[in-house]
Amino acid sequence: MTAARWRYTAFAAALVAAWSTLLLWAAGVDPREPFAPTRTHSLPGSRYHAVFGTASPEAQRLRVSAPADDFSALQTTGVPELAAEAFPILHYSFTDFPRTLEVSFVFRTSDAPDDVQAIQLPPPTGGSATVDLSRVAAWRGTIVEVGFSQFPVAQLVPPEQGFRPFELEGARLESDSWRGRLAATWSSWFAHSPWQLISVSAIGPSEIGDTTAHAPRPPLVVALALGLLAAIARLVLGWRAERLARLLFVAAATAWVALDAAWLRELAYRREVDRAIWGSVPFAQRQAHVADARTLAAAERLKALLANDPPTTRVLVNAETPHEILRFIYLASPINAASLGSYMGAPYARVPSGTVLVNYRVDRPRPLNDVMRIGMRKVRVKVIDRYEDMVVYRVEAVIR
Amino acid sequence: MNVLPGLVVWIAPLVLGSGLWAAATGWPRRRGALAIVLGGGWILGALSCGLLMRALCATDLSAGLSRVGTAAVAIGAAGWACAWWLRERTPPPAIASPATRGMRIAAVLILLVLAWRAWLFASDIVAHPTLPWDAWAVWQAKAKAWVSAGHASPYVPFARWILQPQLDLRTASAWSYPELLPWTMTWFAVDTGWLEPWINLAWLGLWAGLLAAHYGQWRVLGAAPIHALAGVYLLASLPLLDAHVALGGYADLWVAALMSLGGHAWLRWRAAREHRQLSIIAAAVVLLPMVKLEGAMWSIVLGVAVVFGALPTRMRSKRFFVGAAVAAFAIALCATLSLPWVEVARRYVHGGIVVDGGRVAESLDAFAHALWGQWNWNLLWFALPAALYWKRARWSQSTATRRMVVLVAVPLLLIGGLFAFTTASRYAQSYSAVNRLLLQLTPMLVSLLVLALWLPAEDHATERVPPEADASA
Repeated sequence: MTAARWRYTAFAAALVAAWSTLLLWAAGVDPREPFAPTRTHSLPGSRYHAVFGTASPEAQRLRVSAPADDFSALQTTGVPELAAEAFPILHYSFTDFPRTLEVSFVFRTSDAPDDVQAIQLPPPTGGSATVDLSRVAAWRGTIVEVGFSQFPVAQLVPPEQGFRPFELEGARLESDSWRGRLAATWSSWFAHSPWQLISVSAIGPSEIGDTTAHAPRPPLVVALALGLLAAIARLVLGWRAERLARLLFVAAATAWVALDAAWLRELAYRREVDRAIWGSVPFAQRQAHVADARTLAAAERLKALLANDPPTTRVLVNAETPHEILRFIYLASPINAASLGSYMGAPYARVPSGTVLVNYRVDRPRPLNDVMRIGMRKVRVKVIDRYEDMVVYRVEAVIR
Repeated sequence: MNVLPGLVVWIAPLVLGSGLWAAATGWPRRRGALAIVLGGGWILGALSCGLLMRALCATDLSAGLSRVGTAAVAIGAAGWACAWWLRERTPPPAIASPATRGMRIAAVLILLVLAWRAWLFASDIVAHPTLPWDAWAVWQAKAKAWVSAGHASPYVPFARWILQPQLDLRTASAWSYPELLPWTMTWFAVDTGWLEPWINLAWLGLWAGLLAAHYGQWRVLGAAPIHALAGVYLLASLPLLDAHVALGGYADLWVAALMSLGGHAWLRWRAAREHRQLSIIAAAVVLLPMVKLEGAMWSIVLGVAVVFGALPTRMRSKRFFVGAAVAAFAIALCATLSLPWVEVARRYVHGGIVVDGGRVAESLDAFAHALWGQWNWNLLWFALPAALYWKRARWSQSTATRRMVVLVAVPLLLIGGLFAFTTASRYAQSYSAVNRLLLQLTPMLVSLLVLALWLPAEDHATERVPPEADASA
C-alpha cells in the first residue's frame, strides 16, 4: 500500500472515529454503559386503564375509543416502585395515533404522590418513539405511577375534530444504554410536530423558551461534524487552503441539502396535519373551523344580538385571558369591540351609556340592583342576553 | 369564488409594480433584470395596491376591485409604456453564458425542488385559517374589521374611542401599528370578502417575488446563472422563512423583502452609478416604516447609507461623523413627530439598559442558541462566517461585497444591542422576537453569502462601468 493510500485510510478511520464520538456526545451516551439495556420494565397497553376518556384492553393493547368531555384522554398504570435513575430511557408504541393529537408522558413519584408530572413527547408518527428521561429534571426519586395523556394540538385543531380512536401498544422503561440514547436522539431529531404558536418565531422548540429536554439539534451537530472533517483533513491529509476549503464547501453543500430534505419532510408532515383537519371542509368555510370553536360560537351569538345596533356601538370584552379577549374581538369582527383591560388602564375614561359589556367565560357575581363597578366607575346596566358561557350587558347610565 | 376577479387581484399588483419598477429603473435589458422587475415589481405592486385601496376606496371597500384594479393596470401600463419610450435604442450585445450539462441538470433539480416547495406552501396555506397570534391580533384584526364592515374606520387610542361613541372610530391594543399591511390585505380580500386562506396566499406571492428578485439582483451583480439559482435555493431553504410563508399573516417577510430590495438597489447605485436605482431605495425608505415599526430603523439605515454614498470626495474622511449626524437627525425628527416606533424603543431603553452581567450573558446565550442551536436557519450562520473567512482575499477586493458587509453589520449590531442590553432581552430569551427580527435581514445575509462565494473576481474591475456596457441577453 502506498503512503498516500495509507493516509487516506487513516483519514477515513479518524473521520469515522471522530464523527462517532460526536454522535455519542450529542446523544449523551456514557461510554461505560452497555450497548443494550441490562434491565427493562415492560408495560403493555393492556395494563393501563382509562382515567379520562374511554378505553378497553384488546389482547396486549389498550384501545382508546373516545375522549373525555374536554376532548382529552389519559391512561395510567401503577408500577412497583421504580428508581427513576435506573430507568432513564422510555420507549413507547401506539397504533393509528392521529396526527391531530399531542401526547404527554405523565408520572407520579412516591415523594409527591399528589403531584402529577407531565412532559411532552415526540408524537409516535412512525408507531413508536423513544425519549431520554435523564434530560428531564423531574424524573427523579421513586416512580409509582406512569401514563400517557392525549389532547388536540393546542391552538391548531378544533377540539371536537382532534380525536380518532387509537391503540396504546405499550411502553418500556429501560436502563441506560448506547442503544436507548441513540434511539432517543433519533426520535428527538426526526420526530414530527405540527405548526405551533412558536413556529413563526423559532423552529425546533416545542414551547416558548425551549425548555423541553432534547439532544443538540442537527444543524449544530452537522456543523461540528464539518469542523471535524476540516480538522482531520488538515492534520491527516495535510490539506491546506483552497484544497481544504473546497472539500469543506462540497461537504457543507451536501449537509445543507440533507438538512433541507429533513425540513422538507417536516413541512410535508405539517401540511398533511392541516389537510387532515381542514381538507374535507369547503374552502370558504375553513376559517370557521378554528381551535377555539366555543369562542367563535359566542362571538357569532354576539354579532346576531347586536345586528340592529349602530356600528358605532362600543363593546367592551372581558374574558379569562388576554388571548381569549383578543380572539373574541377578532372573531366578533366587525363588532366595534375593545378589551375591558384597556378601560382599566385608562382610569379617567367614562363608559358612555349604550356601551355593551361582555363577560365571556368569566365567573362573576350578578350585579347587585343592576349596578356594576367597572374600575373607578359605577354604572347601571341591563342584561340584554345571557348564555351559559357569556353574559351581555348594556350600560344604561353612569352613576358616578 | 370567481376566477376572473381572482386573477385581477393577483395580476394587478404585477402590472402596477413591474410598470413602476420598469419606469423607474429602465426597460429590463440586462441579464436578470426582467426577474427583478417582475419579482420586485409584484412585491412593490401588492403594497401599492394597499396604498391605492386607502386612497380610492376607504369609504367603500366593495368598489376596490374596479377602482383599484383599473388604476393599478392603468398606472402599470403607463409605466411600461414610459419604460419602452425611454429604452436604450442600441441592441444589447448578446453574451452567451456557456452552461455545462452538469449545470443544466443542477438548475433543473433546483427548479424542481423550488416547485415542490411552492406546491407544499400553496396547498398548506389554502388549507388553514390564519394561525399565528400576532397575525390575527395585529395585522389582520384591522383588515378584517374594515373588510367585514365594508369601509375603513380610523383606529385611535382607547381613551378617544370610548369618549367619542358617536364617531365612527375603532381601537385596538396595537392601534398605532403601521397600517399598510392591513390595507394590502383589503386588496387581497376585494374579490372574496374576508377569506383567510385566500388572503394568506399573498405570502406565497411574496415568496416567489422575493426569490425572483434576488435571482435577478445576483445576475445583474455578476453571478453566473447557476450560482444565482443556487443562491435562490439557499434563500428558499431557510426553515424560519418557510414558516412565515406557510403561516401567512406576519409582516416580517415584507420588511425583509423591502430591506433587501432597497439594499441591492443601493449596491447597484454605488457600484455602477445606476442613479435610477435611487428611486427603488426611495420606495423602500418610504414603505419600510409603513409596514412595521422597526421598518423605520431599517429605513434610517438605508437613508444614512445613501448619504454615505452621496458625500463628495472631499468629505469622505468625515463620513462616519456625517452618517451619525444624519441618523441622529432622523431619530430626532421621528421623536418630534411622535412616531410610534420611538415610543416602543424608548420603552425598552427606559425599562433599563441591562448591563448586570447575568442577564446579558443569558441573553447572549439565548441569542447564540437562536442562531446556531435551532433549526431556524439551516447552516446559514455557520456557512456565512466560514465563507467570509475562506474568500476574504477576494471579497475584500470587491467593493460591492464589502459594502454589503457593512449594510448587514449595522442592523445586526443594532439587533444585538437591543436584545443584549435592553429589556427587550426577554424576547431573546423566549425566542419570541429575536428570530423574527433576524429574519428581516436574512435575504441580505444570504445575498452576502452568494456575493462572497460567487461574485466574480473581476467584479470590482467592472465597477462604475455604465450599465449598457454590461448588457447582455
